[in-house]
Amino acid sequence: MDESVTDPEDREQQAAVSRLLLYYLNAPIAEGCRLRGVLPAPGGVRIAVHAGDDATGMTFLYEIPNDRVAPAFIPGIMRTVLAGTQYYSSDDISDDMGMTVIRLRPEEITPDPEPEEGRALTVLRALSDPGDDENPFLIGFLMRDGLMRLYVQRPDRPGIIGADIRLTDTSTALIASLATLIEEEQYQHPAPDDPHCDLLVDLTDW
Amino acid sequence: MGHLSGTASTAEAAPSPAQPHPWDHRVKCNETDADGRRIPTRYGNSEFGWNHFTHRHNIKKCRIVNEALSGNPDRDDNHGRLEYFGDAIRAGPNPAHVKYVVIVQYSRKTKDGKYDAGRGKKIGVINAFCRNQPNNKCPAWMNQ
Repeated sequence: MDESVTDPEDREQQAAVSRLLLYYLNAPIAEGCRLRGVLPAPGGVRIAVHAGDDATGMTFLYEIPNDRVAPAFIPGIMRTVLAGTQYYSSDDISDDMGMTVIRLRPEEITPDPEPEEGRALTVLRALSDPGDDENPFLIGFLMRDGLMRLYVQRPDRPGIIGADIRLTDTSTALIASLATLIEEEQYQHPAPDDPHCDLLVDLTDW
Repeated sequence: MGHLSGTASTAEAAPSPAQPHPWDHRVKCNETDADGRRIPTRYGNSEFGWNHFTHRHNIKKCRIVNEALSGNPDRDDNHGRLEYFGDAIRAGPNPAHVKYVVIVQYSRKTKDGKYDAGRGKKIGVINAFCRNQPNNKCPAWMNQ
């Protein structure tokens, strides 16, 4: 076991990947594959995936070194490597705890694009993590027809604003700017058809 | 690529490896705020940073961003997201006053987890735009 002091940034990254992959526990991460764990490996994480049946299947540990890929792309990388047949140099294969360890080169893998739920999760987590606010911004959400309505607290007074965004191209800048943009009168309209908010803000073309 | 039967396709079978969402880490503008935070504006890409807001919101000079950043943050969500307000004021015979805002993520990664500035670094300015202007686009006189 490596006894050297681990940089706190390594631990932060490992914890971030663990928390991210919690959202992938409830359903197979790929066909015939279930997520079983995220292990802190030296300088990275090992993502445990059980393929096949409980009794007859195999568990693999996919090792992803820290600092090589932004965490948002890890689920897509996993879907890519778990699909079909993949080939590895034997230099990248080893064994621990009875499980096959596969060391990945994430910068050489094209992540499978996120389906709609994955894109929604990215936006919702960006707006609500870590979830310890006394006065939370994000209160609810509704996905419908390729759009997502985010129910957020008004900054200036009590009440809820319904902010509409497109899930297909929610840029990093839009997510970061949302809390400021909802104050812009040019995007605000009344919400006669939605009893869950007081005002609507349309950012579908922003 | 040779003859292929069935539907015509000259695409290669395997996807080419790609860094998802490549972006330019280089710093375009730099400023230190009133609390001592050193805040870079990186070139980024079409999703964030200088390359996102310079055309979209018509901000062509570092000075616009840096003047806002030189003060105290006006909002702080206590999780790295900072807002800095700025005012562009033109006096003279045709006076005008436009308010703008600079949005900073003072942490290593963006909140959506897509962009990572690297160990020991901050991602910096995500966006900047003018308030109460159509599409939040700043007027041309601000860049003169």
